[in-house]
Amino acid sequence: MVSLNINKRLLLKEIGREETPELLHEIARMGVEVEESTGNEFVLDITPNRPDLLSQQGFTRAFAAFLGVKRGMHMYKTIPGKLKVYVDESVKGVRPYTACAVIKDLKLDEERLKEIIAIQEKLHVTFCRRRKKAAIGIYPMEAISGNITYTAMESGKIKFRPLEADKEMTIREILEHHPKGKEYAHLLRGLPKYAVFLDSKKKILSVPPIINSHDTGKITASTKEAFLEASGSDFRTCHEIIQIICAALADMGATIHTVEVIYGRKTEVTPDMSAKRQEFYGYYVNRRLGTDLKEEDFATLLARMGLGFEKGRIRETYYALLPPFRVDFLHQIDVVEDVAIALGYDKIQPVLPNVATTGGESAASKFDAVIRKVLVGYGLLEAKNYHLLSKEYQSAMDGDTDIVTIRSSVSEGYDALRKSLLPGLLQTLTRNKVHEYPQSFFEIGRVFAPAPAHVEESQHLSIIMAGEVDYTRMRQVVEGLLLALGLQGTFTATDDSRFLKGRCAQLVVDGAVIGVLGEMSPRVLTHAELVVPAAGAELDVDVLRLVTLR
Amino acid sequence: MKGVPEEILASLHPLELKVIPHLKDGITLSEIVAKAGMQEVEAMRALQWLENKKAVSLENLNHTEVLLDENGKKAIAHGLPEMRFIEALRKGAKTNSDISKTAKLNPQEYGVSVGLLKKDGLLDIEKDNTLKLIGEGGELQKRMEEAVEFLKKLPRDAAKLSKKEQEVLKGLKERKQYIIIKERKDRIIKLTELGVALAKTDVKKLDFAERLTADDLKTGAWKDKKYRSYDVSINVPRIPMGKEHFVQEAIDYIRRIWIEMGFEEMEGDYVQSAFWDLDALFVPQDHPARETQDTFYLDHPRSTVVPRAAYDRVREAHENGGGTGSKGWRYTFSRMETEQLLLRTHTTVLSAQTLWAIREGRKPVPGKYFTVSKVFRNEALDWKHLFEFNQVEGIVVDPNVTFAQLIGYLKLFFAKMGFPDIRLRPHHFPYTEPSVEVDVWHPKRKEWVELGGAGVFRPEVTKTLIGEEIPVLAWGIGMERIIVEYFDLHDLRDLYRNDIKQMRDMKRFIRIEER
Repeated sequence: MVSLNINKRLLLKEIGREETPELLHEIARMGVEVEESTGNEFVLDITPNRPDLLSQQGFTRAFAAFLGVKRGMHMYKTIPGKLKVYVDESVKGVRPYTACAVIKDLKLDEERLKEIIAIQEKLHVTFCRRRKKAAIGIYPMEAISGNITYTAMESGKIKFRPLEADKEMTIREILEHHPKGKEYAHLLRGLPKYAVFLDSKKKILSVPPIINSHDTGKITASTKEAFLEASGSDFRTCHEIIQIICAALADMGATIHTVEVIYGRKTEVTPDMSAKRQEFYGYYVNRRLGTDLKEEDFATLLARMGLGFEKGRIRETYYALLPPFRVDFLHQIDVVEDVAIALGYDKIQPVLPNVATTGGESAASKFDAVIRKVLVGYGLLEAKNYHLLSKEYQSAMDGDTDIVTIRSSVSEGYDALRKSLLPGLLQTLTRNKVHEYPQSFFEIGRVFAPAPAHVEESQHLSIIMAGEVDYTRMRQVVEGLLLALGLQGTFTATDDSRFLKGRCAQLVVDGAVIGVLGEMSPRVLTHAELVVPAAGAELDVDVLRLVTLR
Repeated sequence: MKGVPEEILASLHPLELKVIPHLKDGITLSEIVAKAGMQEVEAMRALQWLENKKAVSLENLNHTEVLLDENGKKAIAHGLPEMRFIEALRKGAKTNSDISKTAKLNPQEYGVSVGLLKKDGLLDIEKDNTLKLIGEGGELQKRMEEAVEFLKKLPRDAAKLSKKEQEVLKGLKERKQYIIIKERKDRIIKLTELGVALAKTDVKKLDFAERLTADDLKTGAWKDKKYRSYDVSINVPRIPMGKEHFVQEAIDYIRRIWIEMGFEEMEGDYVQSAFWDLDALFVPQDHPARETQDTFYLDHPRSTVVPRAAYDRVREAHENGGGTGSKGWRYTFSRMETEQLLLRTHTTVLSAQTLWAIREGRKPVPGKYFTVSKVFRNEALDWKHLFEFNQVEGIVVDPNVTFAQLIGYLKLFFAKMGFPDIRLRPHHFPYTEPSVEVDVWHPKRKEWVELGGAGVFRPEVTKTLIGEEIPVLAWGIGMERIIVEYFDLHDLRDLYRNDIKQMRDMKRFIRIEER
């Protein structure tokens, strides 16, 4: 999701409507969220599948169609142009593709210039994945001599004056000192050579995806003709960007001229502004939506979405005609959605479900519920702690450092997954120090242990009781639980650094180790800043369930 | 016992019975405490009960008490320092050290005494620095005696001092640690008509048993006994109880709704591969939401192995549509990316795994599946952000389901949650088409509130995982907002603070749907 500011006055003039709550709701019904409406602007949230909406022009075009002001598909004429872009073999493995266009009859002013830069920026952030996938460049035609070469150069040979700099810089200086250079330097890391656009006099136009030249790559309000390129790792993406921008520029009144992009023996003439076709079946749409739409409905509905409609040869076979900027169609299911949006989600009558199945809760949930009931009966409070807990805190308890960790948690102190529940419950006691004792908590939840190439997850139960408690009290509660489950356990002395020596038992039921219980060691209590004795237990619920259901 | 109704007599608590013999109009709480030999809290409680019975009325009485302090005690025992100073002079002491020694004055007391004597013009300092008393000093001596007399009578009620005594008090207040002034709260008791009658009653003769005993029952003594009536309207202390966590109660409530509708509960791992969490759901590998700042990727262990059969199908769906009728995302699928381990970002991963289980014959079609469980997002913890929260996930797998039915399910669920009006807006998720965002009309706040996303799984998901294109209705609804609001919390962190007081006092999660 990316937010887009739309000039309210221009939009309302174009669609001939006043701003009303209904109008805002119409925007939402089209699938665009209105974040806010300020004095001059609408702030909209655009979803990533619709890069064509990321400009004043693109949004206005779609909304006008949706409202029925300018229904149907917008098509754009291209004029065959003479400019050639030679793509050198050397860009393979560096930045292999580019798609280009020449724009003429630009009637810019400062406002329009800002809009063009904004379109570029929005596309860079979203569709171009912060320039990782592709980057866009616009250049004033008058600064360029002859045809253009797209080639790769060794970094040591690249020296030019980047945008807004006062002198020539080497590419290394740009990457280290220029703001854009610093921002995008990571995208060039490890490359043997850098891609560049050169004109026939070998002047550097730009080093994508970093920056244009100040001398040949800065458009102004007085620019009448421009060279437009997108370069990146995928030709289709580059071309789609050019198509989207060309449509917006043509909406401003400019004309689009093609460029021959020559890849060795293969030549791509870009942009191709012709319509594409997405085949769909009428019955497919109706079955998916639960509607009963007819041929003529499809034509009308697709027109609302700015799409064309064509009948196929076979019955119920149709085509949605897609203008070049609609790049979000992969499957006929995408037609289904556009039809539904055009129809209005609120116009689709909800049908009460009729899928007969027998439901039920999982065995694990049922078992957990039994444990909860028993422990609540003993007057214990159920706690719920986060699954993330500091590695350091956990390790301090029992010296175990083999813990599942997170790469880069933004919440301090939550850098690992809990391996047992006791540390969290000790923190619960710490947090409740100010309240009177006795305090008794239990927690049922998931714990995590690292394993080769995966993480071992299990469901645990932990109990902690603080105040006038000892081993006997804890054992009574645990035995009460076993009794409720129809089990009998053996308690044998064991050593566990978390518990006081001589006051810790291992619980075994039916030959299976269920867990440990005992009086918490003073070391552990002190670490948790506690000054009252406490008894704790940590049991494996998965194993307990298995022996119960055996 | 004329004048006091029987039911009043029957309701007298032992503490009240202790107080009643001492009741007098205008008596104070402290006096009763002293006379009845009770604890102040006991007497106070008894008096409040009597007040509830309209036998007495209590009025606050604040008075100031004058108490003796350290130097005051010394002055009573040895006289005031200046008095000792004068006496030393009279005995012929002349020099600084002689006087201090004879009068047993410390340097501070010496200094104070010199100051006081000079002030009254009683002291003459000779050229050789020796001291001499001028005149008799009778006036000062009189004042000193009065002060000592006053000190001897402490403690006193400041309100009951004579004018003269008040002057003495003023003088002593200026001196260090002679007296302590203490504000004391007391009550004054006024008797009503009933109170007067009660005071006259010989309560010792009352014979109401305090408790019904086992003996009473065994011997039949209860037949001849009268038992004290309790004031059943008074507050009683709370007994802390054991409880399930309130979030668990809400989860169970929501789980029950889906179980009632015939949904089967799904389960699965919290730690998942990017493959199941994202790739199997057709989220392109360069999707912005996959970046580390939003997702908890694991550091140890870092990656896992993805099952071969599933891997190949999903890879193809991404690269070229894989026979789903889709063009696919058309890029080269990365194994490294897909094998990364992460904390599941949505419960939709369990839906994806359920679809794969259908292919393997482990789950039936038609089928309805749900879960209410935790998902994770790499957020900094603050009052409106948690890094883990519960999601309500549901899918309906059936060859005949439609988008219209999806709306039906959502309407039904939200009605059961107390939101009969819902509104659907088109939205985008990489794995559903059509996709919707669900708003509910909030009856209290009178506005639309966004609560979840839903849609029909894309063929790239269903055909790839199930093996055939069966439509699957799906939704993922955030739960925390509903819970927080129900329990009237204003900080999301309060959900998992585990504060014992908060948890004990928390009301239960009860929602009863209207039919």
